[in-house]
Amino acid sequence: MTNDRHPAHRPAAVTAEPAAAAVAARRRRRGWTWTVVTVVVLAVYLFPVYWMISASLQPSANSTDTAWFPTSPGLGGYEKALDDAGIGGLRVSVLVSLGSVLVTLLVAIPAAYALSRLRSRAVSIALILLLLAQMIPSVVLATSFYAMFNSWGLLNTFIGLILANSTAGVPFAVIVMRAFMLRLDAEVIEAATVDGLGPLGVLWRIVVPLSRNAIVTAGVFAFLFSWGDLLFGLTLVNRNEMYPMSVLILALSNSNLNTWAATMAASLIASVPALVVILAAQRHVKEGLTAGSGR
Amino acid sequence: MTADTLTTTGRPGARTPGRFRRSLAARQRGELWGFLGPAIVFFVVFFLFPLGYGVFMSTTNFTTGTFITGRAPFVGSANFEAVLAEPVTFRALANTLTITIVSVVVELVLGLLLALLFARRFPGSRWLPTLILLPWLLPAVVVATVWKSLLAGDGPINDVLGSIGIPVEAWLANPATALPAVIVVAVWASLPYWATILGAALKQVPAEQLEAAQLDGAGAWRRLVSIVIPTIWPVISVLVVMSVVYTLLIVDLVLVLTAGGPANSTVTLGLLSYRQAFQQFQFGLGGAYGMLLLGISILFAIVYTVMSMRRERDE
Repeated sequence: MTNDRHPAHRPAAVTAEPAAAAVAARRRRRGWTWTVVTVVVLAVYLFPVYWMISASLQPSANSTDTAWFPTSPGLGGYEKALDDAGIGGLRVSVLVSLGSVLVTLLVAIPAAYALSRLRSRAVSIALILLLLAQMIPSVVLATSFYAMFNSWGLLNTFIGLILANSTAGVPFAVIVMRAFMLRLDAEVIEAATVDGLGPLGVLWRIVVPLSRNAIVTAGVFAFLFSWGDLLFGLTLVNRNEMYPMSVLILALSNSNLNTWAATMAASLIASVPALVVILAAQRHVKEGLTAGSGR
Repeated sequence: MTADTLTTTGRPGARTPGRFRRSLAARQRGELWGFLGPAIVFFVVFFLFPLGYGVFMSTTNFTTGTFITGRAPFVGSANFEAVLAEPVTFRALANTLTITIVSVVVELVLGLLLALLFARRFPGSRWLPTLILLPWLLPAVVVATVWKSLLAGDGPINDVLGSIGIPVEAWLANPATALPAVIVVAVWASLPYWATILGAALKQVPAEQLEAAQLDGAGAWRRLVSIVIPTIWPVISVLVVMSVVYTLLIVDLVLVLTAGGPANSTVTLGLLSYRQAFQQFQFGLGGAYGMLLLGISILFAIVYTVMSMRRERDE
């Protein structure tokens, strides 16, 4: 009986074993098939990104003869993209984006905390208002902001652009951070209060450190929203030196004089900070968002 | 003090700590409301007031002159009448709805296909799918600029199509192909988002249930329709609503790709609002287009809310 377990004593097993090996091999091959499918799908899907990089390296090509491969690559496009105007545009974009991260977090952290702790019908009303606020077309906001900022002297200013761009970040930040803060242990906060920590102390010393992931996530998205903005930069600015990078790229892509190299180089330069920010914050963002999605 | 408490409660000692705690809770509530202060101010100044101002502008003859004279004569519904008398308005309305509906449907189908592909286990299945996030990080103006070059008459897409015998076309310059081209770009830009969120949702589908169904002889399609989609339906419905609203309001992509042309074949309500306000400096007309757009997006939100409430009641 016990010998039956040994393959040599079971004739059937002799044929079964190579069969099992064949199945396993087929499965492994099928595994690689899906790898190939995925690589092909991604190659087609990501071709525009490749094209942007490749075209940015072909400064001497005009629009008709931009080749599929940069056979004689050059950095002329980058030199053109990073002229005085380009550097200025980057500076405006960076300062405005960082500024709106700051404003977004300053406004949204206390609000998210309050909305996570208050038990009141007002909380659901506030959440509905936040969702509705995101439904206001940004072109409607831009039109009103133009008139408002014109009388407040905020056109062509960093403050104006920062405040306008924060309208994209604040509702999202409150929603994401509130969802995260709901999971914080109420007893820790109670204990801190009993220990004599004031409300700001609790927020700053207990809630903020514990909610780091959600705060980083909200900050990253506020940065990305602001970094990607075109409409506010186009409408609330009419002086060349205050245009953000996005507006300069639009101008480049509309100019007939240019080859694609400078436009693509500027596009690539404008894409890198977003990539760097998200890669640096990757771990926090994953944690910060998964908490929110459960709600 | 103590006597007072005694007489009112009749239970000496017991009430005092309770009352202290209640006042502490009340104070905490007050402090929490205080924390809402900055957000309330921000909301009023940067959402409520601009919205009200937008409504106000849409009922006045608000032009560049208004900034000098400070006068914006009230014209009632004249702006809306003027806007509705323009044939281009209906073109924009149709385009806005077409772009939104077609791209959300295509995004749902392609996003689900990609998510299903990425949910398989294969060599590289851990890191390859993250590459799809790359386009999602590109600013809209970059997406539109790159695609403008790809879709150009002498661009690489035509190189490919030409080599397999399909007639080449300046896709964005032909009124017949410009709108589909805009939709392709919108789908390309949103797909990473769909694939990623749907991919996360697929992880919640119970594997045992799928295996049991497979043993019972349910094919891949049957399993998708009867198990996978019902399980991730809540995620799908939220994604659809968010994408519809987002796509309805899209301005930058169209602005860079075609600026509404050729021959107004790709104008959207958002773009007309932008054009009137910032190119014609007719803020009143721009406001009217903006309100039209806002109305549609709120109408959609109401339809969605009613539908989801009805579904909840049915369940």
